[in-house]
Amino acid sequence: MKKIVLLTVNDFKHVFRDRMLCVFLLAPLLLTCFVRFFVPYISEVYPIIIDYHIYIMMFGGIQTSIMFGFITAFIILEEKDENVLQAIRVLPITPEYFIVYRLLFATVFSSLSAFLMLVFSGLVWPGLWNSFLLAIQYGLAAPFITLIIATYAKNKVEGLAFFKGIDLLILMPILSFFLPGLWKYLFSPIPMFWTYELYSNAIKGSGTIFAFFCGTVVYLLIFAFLISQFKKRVFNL
Amino acid sequence: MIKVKDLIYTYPGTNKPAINKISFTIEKGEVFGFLGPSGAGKSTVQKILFKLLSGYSGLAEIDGKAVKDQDKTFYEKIGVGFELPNHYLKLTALENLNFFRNFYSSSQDPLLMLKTVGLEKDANKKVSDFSKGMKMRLNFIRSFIHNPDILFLDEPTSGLDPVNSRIIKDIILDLKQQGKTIFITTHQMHDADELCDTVAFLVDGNIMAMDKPQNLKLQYSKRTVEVMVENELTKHEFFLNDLGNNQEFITLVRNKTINTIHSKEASLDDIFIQVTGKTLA
Ligand SMILES: Nc1ncnc2c1ncn2[C@@H]1O[C@H](COP(=O)(O)OP(=O)(O)OP(=O)(O)O)[C@@H](O)[C@H]1O
Ligand SMILES: [Mg+2]
Repeated sequence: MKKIVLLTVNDFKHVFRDRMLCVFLLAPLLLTCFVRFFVPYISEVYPIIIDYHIYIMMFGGIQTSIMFGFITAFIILEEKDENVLQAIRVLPITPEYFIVYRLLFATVFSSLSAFLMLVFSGLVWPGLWNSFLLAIQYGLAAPFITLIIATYAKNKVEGLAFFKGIDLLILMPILSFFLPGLWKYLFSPIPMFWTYELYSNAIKGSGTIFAFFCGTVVYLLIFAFLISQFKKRVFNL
Repeated sequence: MIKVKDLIYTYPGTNKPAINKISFTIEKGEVFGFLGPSGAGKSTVQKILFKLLSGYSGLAEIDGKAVKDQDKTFYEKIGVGFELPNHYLKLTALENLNFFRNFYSSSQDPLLMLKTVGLEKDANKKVSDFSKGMKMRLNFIRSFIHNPDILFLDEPTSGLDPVNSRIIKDIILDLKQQGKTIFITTHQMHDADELCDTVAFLVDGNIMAMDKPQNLKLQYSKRTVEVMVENELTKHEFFLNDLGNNQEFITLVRNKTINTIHSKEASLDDIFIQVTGKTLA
């Protein structure tokens, strides 16, 4: 536990001392204000927007959650750049401990900010229980981003390019709601598809456990692959 | 304490082994040095021993246990000083030391340690504002902040001015006094000569010679003495054996004013060239 506190304090020091990461830390706050204040205002002017509130929330929620994924990825990229990862490898903690800690760091904070956004936006309320489920699914987007960027990007510039690409990829499943029939399942290998599905079902009042279950399974499969890649490419294990 | 036998290692994606079947042992309390030119494989051997590289063949044992079977408590008893500085640049020197030391079950006072290498004034400066030499000194003290029994120091004096290099060497000698087992690498023969109980010459992944520095010097020295006297340009050379009965030598030192006398022992540099056909630089 002491080690987790140590690592967390250290990570936040990094965020606060880096201008770009501070901006990324502010993003969830700005997005929440956007859906809380701006969207209702503009909806009064253009009532047609009300139909799209759920998509705005899907977008806002996922954008909020990936910020911590990005922040964590950048901390790791910096550790890679400065060879600090080598120094961490000779500490009395296992590589698995370190990796799991980093992924939990990303997940916990991103789940938390996604949850707060659902609560404070007051826009499309899925109910408390479903908000928990949704927050978990949103939160898992963070380690997804972290693993991809930290494993495959060689430096921060590449990291930013990856970020933009992944951002597009994870927004794509929102299109599924505009597709007829079963075509939407084309997006089902992208785990965020199930997050949006969960949200939509919650609003329709249908069951959400199935989407939660599928989302979790897809995430876990992807994580198993990405973690093994990370260990091989970053830790030479 | 450290035992390596028939160690072979090839980096993934290359076909020539970086380490070519080498064997050596390091006893408890010994300072063992790898002396060799750049690319010889010095760092590679160390990385295998502290488990940053796997996939080697042969035996690599520490305290009677293969390194691949060591668990995380292994890192409580070994300390690693990397060849390149690796710190969190956005943190201060003190924050860096505090971060790393808190992973261990016990550790030394970081401020006192900073003081021993002349960094106490810079304790609260960000490492990004450090010079290379300052970063190296920080690397060095971090390596034994948890009081390990075994220390791996990869070129501990590289990039340091003579004064700081002296300070580091004195600390290493002090650690030796405390009974630590120390494995250093260097391409500076003076350091190897001064610090090491045993030195191994490493070239292209092979150990070409291994012995105490004094023994190597004795073995490869010419065992002669060279005398220069006043008003003469030519040098006189005598064999050391039975020098006291050498009439020519005795007459010379009795009757002439002597300018210089040197025994012609070889330096490790000379020996390295003789043995390996390569220079250290
Ligand atoms: N990551 C790597 N991948 C492939 N080859 C490598 C790698 N690291 C080192 N090598 C090769 O292995 C050999 C030994 O390298 P090593 O770093 O052990 O040398 P060294 O003796 O420590 O040199 P130096 O004095 O420059 O630090 C070199 O030929 C080097 O090119
Ligand atoms: Mg080296």
